[in-house]
Amino acid sequence: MPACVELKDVTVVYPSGVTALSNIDLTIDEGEFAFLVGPTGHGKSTLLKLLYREELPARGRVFVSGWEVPRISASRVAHLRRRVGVVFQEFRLLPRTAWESVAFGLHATGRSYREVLRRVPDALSEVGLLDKADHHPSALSAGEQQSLAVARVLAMRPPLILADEPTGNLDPASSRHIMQLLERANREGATVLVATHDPAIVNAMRRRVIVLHHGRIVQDEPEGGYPDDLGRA
Amino acid sequence: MILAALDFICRETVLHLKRERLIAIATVSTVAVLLIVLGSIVLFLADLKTWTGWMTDQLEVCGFFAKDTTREDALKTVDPISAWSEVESVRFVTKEEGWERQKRDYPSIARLEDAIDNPLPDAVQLKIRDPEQSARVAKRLEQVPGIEAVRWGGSLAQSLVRFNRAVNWSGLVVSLLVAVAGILIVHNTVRLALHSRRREVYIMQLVGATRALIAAPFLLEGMLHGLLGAALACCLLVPVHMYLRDLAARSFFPLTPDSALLPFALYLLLAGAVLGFTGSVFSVRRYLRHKPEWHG
Repeated sequence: MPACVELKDVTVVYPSGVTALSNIDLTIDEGEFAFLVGPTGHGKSTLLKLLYREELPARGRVFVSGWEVPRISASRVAHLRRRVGVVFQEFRLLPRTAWESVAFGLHATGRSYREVLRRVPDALSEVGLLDKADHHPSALSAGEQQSLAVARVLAMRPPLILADEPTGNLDPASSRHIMQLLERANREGATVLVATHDPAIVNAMRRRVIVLHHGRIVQDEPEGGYPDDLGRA
Repeated sequence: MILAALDFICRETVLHLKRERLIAIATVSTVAVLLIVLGSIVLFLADLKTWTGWMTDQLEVCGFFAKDTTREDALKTVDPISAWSEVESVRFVTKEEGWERQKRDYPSIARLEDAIDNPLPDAVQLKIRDPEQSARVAKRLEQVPGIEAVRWGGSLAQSLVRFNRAVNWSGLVVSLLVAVAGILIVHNTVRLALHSRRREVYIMQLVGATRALIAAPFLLEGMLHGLLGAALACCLLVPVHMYLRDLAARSFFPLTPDSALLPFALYLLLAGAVLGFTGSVFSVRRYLRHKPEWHG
């Protein structure tokens, strides 16, 4: 299986001088589902940001689908981001209806009307929000808002999906639903990398677990659980 | 793909114009005020040019023949004078014609006609190509055999030329300042619009919209603000100028003709669009240079 994500000896240092990631070597194959776990502030989000070029490494090389991310020109960044879908803890939805929220990304990347008309209902029905297509985010529950954020990503059909604490603001039932959606996307071919510090979902799914601690990978297990000693490590 | 992108740009622009009506109204009215100032300067300069042109047209160099010069000798001078490079045209005015003109222009003379004999000599009226050459031509005319006296606008002609030049330059400077102010205003408004739409911009950047597609609705919006402001300015300036031209015409005071107002309005619209577009380009370029942030 070719690598979808590859990090070689990557170090990220913030302008404040804080080292967020140190000498990271990591490979995630195409079609893989992996968890990135670790306490808050230990580099999970920074690692994800490297993959959609919101952060640049101080040292090392970052590849996504064969593209060397830090080296791509400013004009090609848009093309990289079309291949990477991102789900955030705080949903990051526009004050538009569910339909418009999903359609916005498609329109913004120049998809034809016919394509938008096909993909938006598909994505909304996949996450169970087709009957709420005309609802604004304010009229949706937290779980539904996150489902909408996932629908926005699914509609773009990216080969790589990054989720940064996607269940952080959700109750257990909604969390399970979101993880099922991500799992389904993975079954359909997308590579999925989920940053979380929720032991319940990690332990329930038994997928690859990469443990980040103080900006370093301290553990990487193919079918791991949430490390019990993470808080004390 | 291109049609879909164009459709997206137009829809987003219209949506934002509707949503941020207050910002749009503030920008359009400010741009309108600026363009009214700019347009007034341009019209004033054009009127001044028309007026000084008319004045200089009236300024002629006149040579009066001595009484003892026969008409035949006087007429012989017309062709050589016409050949002078500074002279546009030469008109021979007989003393009878000159007298008739005096009587027409000054009715009091007409009333005394029976008491006074025609005191005027034959004369030549020279229209000069460049009013600045008037002094030279006047001197040259004095040397022509048979000419006894020469009269011309003298310093008035030169003052008009200097005045016209000074007004042109100061008008240009003021216009440039107004244009810069306009660009700054649109620039700041678009910055406001970008700030209020930072989430949309963020999502667009996140899903991989190109910079051109992100920037286009803002550029179009800036251009529309400029165009609408210019249209408002035209709606005020054109009828007011037509009215003033009409008033001035009654006093034989020429202003820029109405036929020149259509190109003027088109130029003003173009200036508004360019101003709006340029202001937007500055803000959008600056904004998109930074990395995307959600600003929750």
